[in-house]
Amino acid sequence: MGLKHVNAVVVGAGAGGGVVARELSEAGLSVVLLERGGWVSFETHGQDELINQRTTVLGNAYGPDDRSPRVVEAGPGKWDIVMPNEGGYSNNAACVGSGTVSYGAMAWRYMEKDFRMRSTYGAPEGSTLEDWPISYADLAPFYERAEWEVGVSGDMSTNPFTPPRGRPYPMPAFPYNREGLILEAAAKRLGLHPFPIPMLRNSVPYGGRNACVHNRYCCGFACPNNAKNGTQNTVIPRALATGNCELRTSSIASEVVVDDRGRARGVRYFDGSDRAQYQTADLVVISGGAIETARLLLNSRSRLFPDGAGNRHDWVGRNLQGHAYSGADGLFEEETFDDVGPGATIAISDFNHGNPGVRGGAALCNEFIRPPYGFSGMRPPGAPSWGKAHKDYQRRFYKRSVSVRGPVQEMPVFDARIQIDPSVRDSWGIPVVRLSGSRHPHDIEIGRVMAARAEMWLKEAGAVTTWQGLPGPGLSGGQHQAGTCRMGADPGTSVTNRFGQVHDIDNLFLADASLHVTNGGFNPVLTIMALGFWVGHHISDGWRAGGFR
Amino acid sequence: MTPRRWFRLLLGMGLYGGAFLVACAVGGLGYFHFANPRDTCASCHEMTGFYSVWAGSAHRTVSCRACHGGSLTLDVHALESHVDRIVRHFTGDPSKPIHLLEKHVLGLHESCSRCHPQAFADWQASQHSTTYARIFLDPEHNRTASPTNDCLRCHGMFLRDDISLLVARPPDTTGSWMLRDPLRATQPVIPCLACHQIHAPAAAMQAAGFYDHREHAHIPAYLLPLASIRQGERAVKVSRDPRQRVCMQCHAPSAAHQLGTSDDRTPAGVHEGLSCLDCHGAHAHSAAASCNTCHPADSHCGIEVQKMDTTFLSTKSAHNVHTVACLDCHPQGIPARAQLKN
Amino acid sequence: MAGNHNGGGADGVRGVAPAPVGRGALSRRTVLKLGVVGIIGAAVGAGSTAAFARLARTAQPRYRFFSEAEAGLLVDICEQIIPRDDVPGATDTGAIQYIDRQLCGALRRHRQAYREGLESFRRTCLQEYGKPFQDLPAPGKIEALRAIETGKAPGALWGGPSAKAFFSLVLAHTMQSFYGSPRHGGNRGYASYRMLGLDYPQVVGQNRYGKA
Repeated sequence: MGLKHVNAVVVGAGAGGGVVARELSEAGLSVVLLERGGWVSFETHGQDELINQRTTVLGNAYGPDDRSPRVVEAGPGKWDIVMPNEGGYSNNAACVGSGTVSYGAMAWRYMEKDFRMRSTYGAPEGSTLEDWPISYADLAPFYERAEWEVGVSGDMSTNPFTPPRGRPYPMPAFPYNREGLILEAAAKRLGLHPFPIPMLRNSVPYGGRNACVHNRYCCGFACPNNAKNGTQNTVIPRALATGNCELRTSSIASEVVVDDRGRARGVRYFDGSDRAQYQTADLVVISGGAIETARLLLNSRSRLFPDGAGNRHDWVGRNLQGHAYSGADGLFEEETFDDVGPGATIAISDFNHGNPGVRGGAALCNEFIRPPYGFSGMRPPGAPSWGKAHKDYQRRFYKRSVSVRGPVQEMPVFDARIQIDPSVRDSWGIPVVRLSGSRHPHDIEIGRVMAARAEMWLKEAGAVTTWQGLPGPGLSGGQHQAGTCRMGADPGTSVTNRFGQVHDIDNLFLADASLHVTNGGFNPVLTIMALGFWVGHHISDGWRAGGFR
Repeated sequence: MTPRRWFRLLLGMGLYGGAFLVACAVGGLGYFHFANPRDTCASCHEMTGFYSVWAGSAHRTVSCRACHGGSLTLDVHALESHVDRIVRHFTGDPSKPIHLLEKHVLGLHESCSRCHPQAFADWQASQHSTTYARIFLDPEHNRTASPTNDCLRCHGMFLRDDISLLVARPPDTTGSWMLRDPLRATQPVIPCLACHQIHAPAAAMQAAGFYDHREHAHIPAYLLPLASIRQGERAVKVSRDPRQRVCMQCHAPSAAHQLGTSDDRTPAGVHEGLSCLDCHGAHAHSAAASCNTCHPADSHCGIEVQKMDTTFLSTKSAHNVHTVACLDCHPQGIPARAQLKN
Repeated sequence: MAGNHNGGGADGVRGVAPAPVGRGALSRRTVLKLGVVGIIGAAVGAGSTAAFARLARTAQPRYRFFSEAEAGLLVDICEQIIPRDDVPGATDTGAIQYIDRQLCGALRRHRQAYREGLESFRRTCLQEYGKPFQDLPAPGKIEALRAIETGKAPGALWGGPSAKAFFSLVLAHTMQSFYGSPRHGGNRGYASYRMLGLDYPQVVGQNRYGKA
């Protein structure tokens, strides 16, 4: 007894999949949206510093749990099994809305040059740096839709580097907190151009949801006030309200079935009772995040694609990127803490491009409020980490520190990759991923440049002690994971075309950060949402023209 | 033996055996019900903390069963949670923290009224006796700001569920907000335990505490933060009365702590530095009669304050009792202190 | 006190139990016998419950995972990491309770590292300083711990986790206990939040009805 055939099945109800589900159900397609997690609530973990999505020492607040291990390369030929709350796992989340439930909610558009990294800078040796097959201008209308449909507070009037935009943001920007005011004055003295960070968070009531009340903790936590906008409280409820979309939670996709004519027939998955199910559809969209999307493709072997769907040229799972976070910390004589959460308010985009001798850069922002346990590890090099001196330090500087960080653009590396582990399986018997490879040396180099800029900013702001935080050489990924199924014009060196359509499988689409050719010098979520609208729009157009059936 | 004799024997064994087992159970539970808690509840290490706090509290002469009911209970939750705890104890699983369910909290709340009828009556007459229906089904409120989990910080703080399991949105634009469980409608959202820690140490000041919904625990008043309130750049003098810290958890300013923002009612102006409790009774909140305590003897301007429009309900009132300052009536400058009318 | 009420229990039995047997079968003798059985039963029930409760109380180990000796050593190590000064330290705020409880939960995977690491630590102190850690003077404890932290301890004694790895494990868990939520067993009385001057719970209003 099979499940009722539908027009589209979307795998993953995160930033990309939630948007696609809305686009397709709005266009009249019947949609099944599969999500491996469930609906989550603030009530489960509240604002627990030890169980959230950022600090996970006692567990992940919003999934996944230990039923989904991964394997990571611990050294040459040495593989470790890691759990989702351990370092190296590169977790995002597993719940309706995925990372957008608990993110910091920075709402960046990538800049024009972020889409043309190769033609702007040339590829360094050892990197697969490439231009996107689409331009900023292609994506701009879809960025705008994301800003208005999900909801962004912002104001770019003082940022001369921002790419051209049509409509302004739907909500006014958040004011600077005390850190922001200190840094604003310093940036202006340095001739820089500070501006408020655009946020997927309501500065005023918007879309039937409340305004932010500035709780202390936000990044890593669900919002108790429904003031943070993710797909779980915007586009997914709208998709469900059309009556065309069915959300199935606790559904673990194991395989996309591809027939001998090169068409996707549907998705095999395990339902909430761990029973194997097969949902057939006219078309399939995968939005599992860069790691799980690649895993699902690699696990979908067929006669035409013996190495996994879309993997004819061994590009699936390659070029895993995140961000080489760099920056600096500073200690102040005066109090910088004002408890107006969540704390990250100010940014500069002066160093996103045009840094001499390096490719790309990053937006530099002040950090979210450091929770107490997190702050216990925030120390200048050589400072005592325990004993009486530790306590004295905590007391003296907890309210007198500023941290500036930036998501530094990484150079894609072919061997930073995801493969299917030959032996380890998850609790549903599905082979898990193994992660291997390392960062490009350029990431470390540019990390140093950006850290020096951040330190300069802090010094100008009056920091009495400063030190830099530099990226390590290890594999990148984490919550900003991207790049594993890049889009491109040449089927030999990419996985999908410019619309996220997998080469040679016309009714199989991807819609998440796995498509990113490069990952910009910004937090990626708004770009993922924009790509969701872009891919969804293309599918609906094709559907209306009679395609995919 | 004949089948009939067999039958009689079995019947007899069943009868006496059954009676014996029932008597054993009743005896055991009865022992648990009536014996000193030190020898019963508190012999499990999960309970020793609660017991020792209770033993040092003002309520130490009130037995466990007076408020919690005893072991001769048919409460399914209690039985289930006790069995669960025993299983966890022997399997070495970490025990879940012990929390009262909301229905138990409301049961306790009723128990309070038996010994503290006056305080209870005062509370009933106050705005703090408000109910789920009044707080969560107000269409005007829900139109401007829909209910969220953060509401539970100050209303219905003993609930353990997501707000969506408490309140249902109107199905369409003409429908009305509904409580998923209609029986909740008349239940109080700020029961005694919201502001009182029944097991608190005997010193009177420490009986006040705030039940922190997020932490699932009472925080005694003296451990609650003394919020800094600012009027522009100026730090407002805030009373150090620890009980006021309980009030400020809910009657709170916006995050930047500016005076009068959000639900802040910290007195400034001529009343700066007073505690909430200087004017408002702890349970009956009406402050109308309290002016007499200080006025006219302590009046700076010598006018009859009872005749002033001292409403706080209108934030526009120039005489808002929480903020009225000399300059509100004397914009040209404050005259020399008026003579007191005796 | 209990004895009086056992009678109450037996009364109940006498009144109720024989009913299904039928009027004819219920002789005076049966009722009497049932009463005796009920009283004995209630006494056995109450007595065994009391005995069991007493047993439970006396047999109560203080820790779920650690032995008393292990806990004593670990408490002393944690106290060096966060010593008491004018605000409470690791001992007062429940570091051992946090670690002990979490080793039966989320931190279960570190059980062996603790068991072996504490033993290595104990033997290191005996070998290097000639006495148990607890008996060292305060500066000696810090010096010993620093040697463990920097990996200067004799490697031969560290067959499980390395000295460095063990130290960083204890350091991380002690910090978690002190700075995490009290619901996990540590940070008793919100001591660390008060030390940092961090309002807990945060005083924050909801800005409803358009009031900023």
